[in-house]
Order: sequence, then structure tokens, then C-alpha cells
Amino acid sequence: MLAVARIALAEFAKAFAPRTGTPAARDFLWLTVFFTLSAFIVFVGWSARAGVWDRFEQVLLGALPEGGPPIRVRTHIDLPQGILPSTAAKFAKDFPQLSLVPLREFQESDEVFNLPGLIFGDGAEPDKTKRIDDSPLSWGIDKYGTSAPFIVMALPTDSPLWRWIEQRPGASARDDKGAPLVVAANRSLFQKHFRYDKFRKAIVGDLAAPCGLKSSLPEQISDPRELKTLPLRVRESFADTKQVYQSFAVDWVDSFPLPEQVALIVPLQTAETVLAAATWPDFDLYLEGRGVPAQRISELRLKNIDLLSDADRNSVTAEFEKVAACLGSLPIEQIAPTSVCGAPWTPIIANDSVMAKDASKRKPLSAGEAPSVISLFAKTSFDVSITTTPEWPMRKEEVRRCTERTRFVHASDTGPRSLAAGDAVAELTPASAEVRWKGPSRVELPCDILKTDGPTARLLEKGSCEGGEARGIGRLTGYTDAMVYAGAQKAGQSSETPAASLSLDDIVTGLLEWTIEGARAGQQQHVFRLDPTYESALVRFGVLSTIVDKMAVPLGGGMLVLYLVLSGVILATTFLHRRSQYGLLLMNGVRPWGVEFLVLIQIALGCTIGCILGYAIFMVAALEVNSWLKSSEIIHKAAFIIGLDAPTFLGNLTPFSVVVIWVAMMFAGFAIGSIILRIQGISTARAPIDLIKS
Amino acid sequence: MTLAVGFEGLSVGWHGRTLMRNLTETYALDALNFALPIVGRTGRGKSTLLYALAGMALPQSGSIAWTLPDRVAWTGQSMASGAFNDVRRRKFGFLLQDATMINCFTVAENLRHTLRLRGITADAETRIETSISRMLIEGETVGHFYHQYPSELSGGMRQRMALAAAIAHDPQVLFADEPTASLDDTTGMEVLDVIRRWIDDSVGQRAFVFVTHRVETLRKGTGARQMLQLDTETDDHGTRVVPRLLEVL
Repeated sequence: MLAVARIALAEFAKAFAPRTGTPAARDFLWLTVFFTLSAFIVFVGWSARAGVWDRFEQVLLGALPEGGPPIRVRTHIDLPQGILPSTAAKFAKDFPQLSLVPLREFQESDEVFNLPGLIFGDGAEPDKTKRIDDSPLSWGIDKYGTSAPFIVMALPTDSPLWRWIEQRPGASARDDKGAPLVVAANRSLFQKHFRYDKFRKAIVGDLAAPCGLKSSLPEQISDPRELKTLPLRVRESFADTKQVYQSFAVDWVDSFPLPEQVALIVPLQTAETVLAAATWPDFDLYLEGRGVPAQRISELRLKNIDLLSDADRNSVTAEFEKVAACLGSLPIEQIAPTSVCGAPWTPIIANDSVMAKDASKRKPLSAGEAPSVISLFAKTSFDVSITTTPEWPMRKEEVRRCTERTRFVHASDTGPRSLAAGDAVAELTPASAEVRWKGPSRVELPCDILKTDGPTARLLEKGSCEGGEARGIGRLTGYTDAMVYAGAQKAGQSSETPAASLSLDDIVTGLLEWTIEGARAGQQQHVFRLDPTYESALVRFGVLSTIVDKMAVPLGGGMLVLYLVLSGVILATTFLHRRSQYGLLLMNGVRPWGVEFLVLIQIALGCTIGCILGYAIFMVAALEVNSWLKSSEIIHKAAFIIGLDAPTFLGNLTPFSVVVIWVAMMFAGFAIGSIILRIQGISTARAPIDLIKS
Repeated sequence: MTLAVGFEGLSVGWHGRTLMRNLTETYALDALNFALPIVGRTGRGKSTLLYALAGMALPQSGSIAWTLPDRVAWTGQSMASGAFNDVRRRKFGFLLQDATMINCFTVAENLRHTLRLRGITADAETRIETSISRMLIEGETVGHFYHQYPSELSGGMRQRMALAAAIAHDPQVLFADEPTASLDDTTGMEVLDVIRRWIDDSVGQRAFVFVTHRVETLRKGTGARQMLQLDTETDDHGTRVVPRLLEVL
């Protein structure tokens, strides 16, 4: 056998030698060329089909490389409580092959996450007819008159969409602990609908905006991507009037691969931490702590200045006044209209503030009247202080910004303790409660916040805060929206997930028909309905995919027949050229099956080399095609408008696919070779002379 | 009797046509000076009989037996057996009418593969050189042939190299189908002389069975004393070919 194998190798190698004894020696060269071209065509066909399918999924359904096509569902209209943790648990049990990713959508009117300048004053719904260029709103119609609502979507950071975002070039490193202060922004939407000048004007004109934030905003920008952080107005307490400015690190994405136009994506952890603050009245959140206990500064006081010499007193007081100016504090005696870091301030607010400074003289706020958001600067012969109202303490980083180059650099870190004359001391607020996100709709909070009685007691998870526990689980409202991922569906059949045997249609039907136990005993309740935008895309996808699938059968079948016939012709010619040679081998003691073995080795060699060369040519072609696609205008537009990622058409062959193609081609070659050997009477020859003399 | 060939009830033919029917004979090659020429007019089945004796063609019926000196016998049915195949590979050598080499291999490669197929690898290179040098005529060297393809050689050279390949593994019986047909008289004699010397190098251990038309050169070229002439004979069953052992004149 070894001798036969060596002859097979030697004869095959002769096909590529510069000098051969006979033109027929080149037969294996042509066979290898045939296998190379066949492999190339199969690789291109396979890859193009996958490429077409992937692009359909991406363009129409928003499929992601790791997640496959998402199925965008909303909760059934008869399920007002939405998807609860118990529903999600039953889903996991009933659909182990699918993953349910809950999401929350916040509209501008929800006042949970808002773009500064989008809602003014008392938060009333803006008149959208006025969204024209002279509108004061920071988000409006584009130059062609198209409008898009400012939608913020909250998704878990381990969801495929967030993973897709963080894998993009230039994505910021994210720490998933607690509530991450990061957002992903839709550059396409921002470029069309975001008006930075109005956005900046709204912040600068807002007394509640920290002076540091105002000063950090550039005068103008030419591209939204110039903003490395994006300040948003975030609700931090049960009182809907209190929205604070929080800067988020921003990852700019050309567009999100979603059926709807979403402006921002925030981590669900962060969104639900904020929602917890809006849900439990006794929970005041300091979001900069990302869920861990944090403190703010209610007062900054320069004590015992009377003990200092005049010169020192004057010096330290002057420096402290600079800090006050930096923080936007107004003198307590200020009653004339002025501005604070660019925001207009009126004496009415000043009066409230004056009263807020002196508790004995504090005037109760009238209904609907907001407490002063500015800090006040007061000076006596004993001390100098910067004081805030209890509702609007200063953030430590804001104080630190103003004190970092002064003698009071450590003031923001010190609590109330005795210090030397002329030192600044900070009065800190009580630490905010620690909140831990425990998965969708579940947050862990101290039991004294969650309350076992009162209106929020119904939100307490069963078994929580019993038996003297310090902390318990509170439940937020259920989800009305979710994505279901079935993994990478391919042509409705092949997949790398256990959902492989199910088509997308089967999965969607299964989801729509899925029921849970309803409110009344024995009643079954449907859970999902399709998002209308997604349903439309799904139908389009179905039509196109059906066409591709139907075309694939005759095309694939035709190619297979062509491959078999051509390989048969080439192999038959090759064998005919060698017929007497095979007779000589028999004469020299090789058995007929030895001749077949020799031929199969040569087919395997030709096929293997052909596949390697075919793959190399395919990779070059893929690079060229993909390079052309990348530079094409329509692909740029698609990336910008619909978030079409990875504009590749070829090149997504897995090693497994390549091996499958190689093995299939080789075994088809073996089968054809064996049949032809039999037809030509080579493998059935009973005597050498049958071949030598025929 | 160290070397002999016999057949019993042997019928051979070509393409379904029976040429020789029900032959039963035994030839002691010792008595024939270890050379058995098969002669006769064209179409009598000389090559067919040679191939049958060499185990390269299937007898239509009957059996063939060789004494080498161990007895090896086969029928059409047992020819496919591994044991027979092994005997043919080790004990027999073949030189066909056309060259007996694979065209895409050089002379050396042909010889190397011939030896490899017989499990001879240890002193293969020495054997190759020895086999080639045994075929050289005046003015030739091994280098003239070693890296040449068969198509690059003249007919005579190719035939001599084919002979080198046929005897490189040192068979006991060399079968040849008109080994000098494509050669001029001088070269043909040289080839036959090489074969004769090969037989004489190991007296009693080697034999030469061949088909030829050149009866006049038999005795001088091969040392053959008798030849197997194929004549026709007509009886009740029709015309048939009958082998007759005649003296070489």
C-alpha cells in the first residue's frame, strides 16, 4: 500500500513538474485547476448566500452578528402588568433555546432621561408644530421636514446590542458594576435632529445646571461626535420636579440596527436605578455614586476667621469668595436680578433663598413652588459659608473642581470636624441608600425605604423584608417591550443554536401563541404581540428569504450536476490516458483495488490543493468585493441611516463550512472516480492484459 | 527438473474467441536450455498463450502449473487470489511488445517503483544502476538513461530499459512478447544476448519464455534448442490451434 501511495504522490507531483515524459502527465494539473475553480465557485456561492441572508437579516430585522435576528415583541394589550420576573422565568422554561431581553423605552414626556432643552419650564408637552429652526427646542425636525421622537431605550449591558456597541472601534471602556454612566448615541439621528446651540443654551440658561458643566460645553460643534460626554436631565427622586444634570460617557454609533429610530441607548441597570428613585418616595438617589452610597455637600464653611490676623483673614476670605463664584453662589444679600453662570436669576428666588439660609426665618414654599437651586454665600465676622437648600446639595466633583487649585482642595472630602482657623469644612448630606440591581424589574434596597406597609408595600417581593432583614427586593413595573433572540438563524434552518430546527416564522408563531395563566383561574392569557414596525419588516424578510431559498434549489442543484458531470469527464479522460499504465501496475502485482486506492489518493490531493487554492482566490475576491462595497455610497448611507454594520458580502465562511465543502467535494470526487473506474473496467479488471491490450 | 511449465485442459482465446482448446502438455525448461520461444503465423494466438502462461490473461478453462521448483498452479477462478498475485510479482518479469514503462516517470523512477512494488527498497539504487548498466552498449553510460523519460529514448533504448525494469527484481521467469520486434537486427541480437547472459548467470534458476517471429536468430540469440510452434488443425469440432514442440534449426 505504501508503494502504491508513493507512486500516486510521485505521479501527481509530475503534473506540476517543468518537464514531463508525456502530455498526459498534466492531467492532474488540470484536475487540480478544475477543483480550484469548483471550490472557488462553491465558496463564493456559499458565502454569498450567507452574505445575502445576513444582510437581509441586518437590513430588515436588525440582526446582530452574535445574536442573530431579534424578534421585537410588545406585551399583549390584555396584559397591562407587562412582563414580570415570573413571566420571564416561565419563558425561560418554555423556550430554553431562546433568550428574552427585556427593554424599556422612555419618551421625552416620561421625564426619566431627557435631553436638556427638549422640555422647558414645567415639563409640559411641547408644541411639536413649533419644531422649526427658530424653535428653542434642542431636538426637532431635520432640514427636510422629517421629525423623529427622542426615544431612549434601556437594555441590559449583556444584551447582544450592547455587546455589539462595545465591540465597535472607539467604544469607551465600560465598567458594568452598579449603574454604568454611559450611553450609546445614534449619530445619524443626532446629526439630523439635534441642535447643539439650543441644547447648550438650555443648559447655560438653567440655574440647576452646575457651573462646571456649563463651562465645559464648547461654544459650537460641527459633528455630534465632538461631544465625549453627553449631559442628560435625570430624575433622581420621587418628586418629578427634581431632575439633575448627569454627564454620561457617550459612544457614538452611526445608527442602531433596530426597527425603530432610537436616539440613545442606556444600560438597563442605570435606567432601573433611576426608576427606583422615582418609585419609592423615601429613596433619594445620588446617581454619581452609581448605586453605592454617596454624599453631597450641603454647606461649605470657613470657620473661625476672627482668630486670624487681618491680612490672613482678608486673604483666605478672598480665596473662598472665588470658590463661591466658581460654584455660582450668590451673596445672601443679593436681591437685584443678576445671572448665575449665564442663567438668569430673579429676586423672587433670592427671597426664597434668603429664607432658606436662616431656618428661623424660612418661608414655607407655596404649592408648586420649587426650592432654590442655587447656593448662597454668607459672610459674618466669625465665618464665611456657602449653603444650599436641602433639595439641591452640591456634588462633590463640582466643589472639587472649584477648590482644586486653592488652599481648600481637601474641603470636599472632609466631614464636619474641628479644624484650624481659616480651614474650610464641608457639611455632607446623609449618604444615599445603596441600591443593587438584581436583574430586570428587581432592585435591592433597605427595607426602611421599601416599606412593608403603605402604597409601595405591594411592590415588595414576596418574602422580602421579613424577619428583621435590613434589605429586601422591590419590584418595578413590568416590561411592555422585549427582544427575543433565537441565535444566528440561517435560511430558516441552519443555526449554531439549539433553535436550529426552527424557522424564524415558527419561532414568531410560537411566541405569539404562548400563553400564561391569567388573572382568573383556568384562564390562559397571551403574552406577546409583534411590534407593528417589526411585523412589517418580518413580512418583507419572509418574502425575500423565500425567494432566495427557492432560487437556491435550482441554482445549487444545477451547480452540483455541473460539478459531477465535469469532474466525471475530466476523471474519465485522465483514467483513459492511464489505462495501460494501470495494467502495468496490475502486472507488477498491484491489485485492482490498489489501483482504485492510487486514484483516490490522487483525487484527494487534487481536491485538497484545489480547495486551498480556491479558498485563497476566494479570500482575494472577498477582499476586493468587500472593499468595493465599503467604498460604495449606498453602503455608507445604509450604515448611517439603518445601522448596517459590517458591510461585507463575502468572507464570512467559518472553518467548519470550509471543511464541509472540502470533504463534500472530495467524497463526490471519490464517488465519481470509483464509478468511472468501474465503468471503464479498471477496478474490475481480472487480468493485467485486459487493460494493457485494450 | 528444476523449472517446468504445464497445462491441463487449457483453453485460451481473445475477446471471447477460443484459439486453443483443451491443451494438456508439460515442458521441462531444463531440456529446452531454459528458453521457450513461441512461434507461429499471425493470429494463431502466440501472445495469448504467452499471457496465459504468465498469468496476465485469464484462461478460458483448465489450469496452468509452474514448477519453480515449488509448484504453482492456477485456474481462471483462482487467479485473483493474493497468493497467485504474490508469485506473479516476485517470480515473473515481463517485457511487452511496446515498452513496459510508465511514460510519466524517468527510467530510474520506473525501476525504483518496480522494485518498491516488490518490497525491494534496501539496495534499490544499486540494483537500478546495475540493471541499467547491464543494458548498455558501447559508448553509453548509466547517466544517458537515468533521468530520461521513455519518450525521450529511441525504440531500442526504450526496449533495453524496459528489459532492465523487467529483470531488476531478479525474477525466475522472464516473459517477453516480441522483445526485438521494434529493433534492428544488431540491436535485437544485443538485447537477446543480454537476456541469454542473464539466464546463464544463474544456470537452472532462470528461464525465458517469449514470442518471436525471428526464428532465424533463435539459436544464436537465445540459445533455444526447441520452439513451440502454433499450427492449425481441423477436426469434427472445426479448426483449432495446436502447439507443437519443434527443434530449432
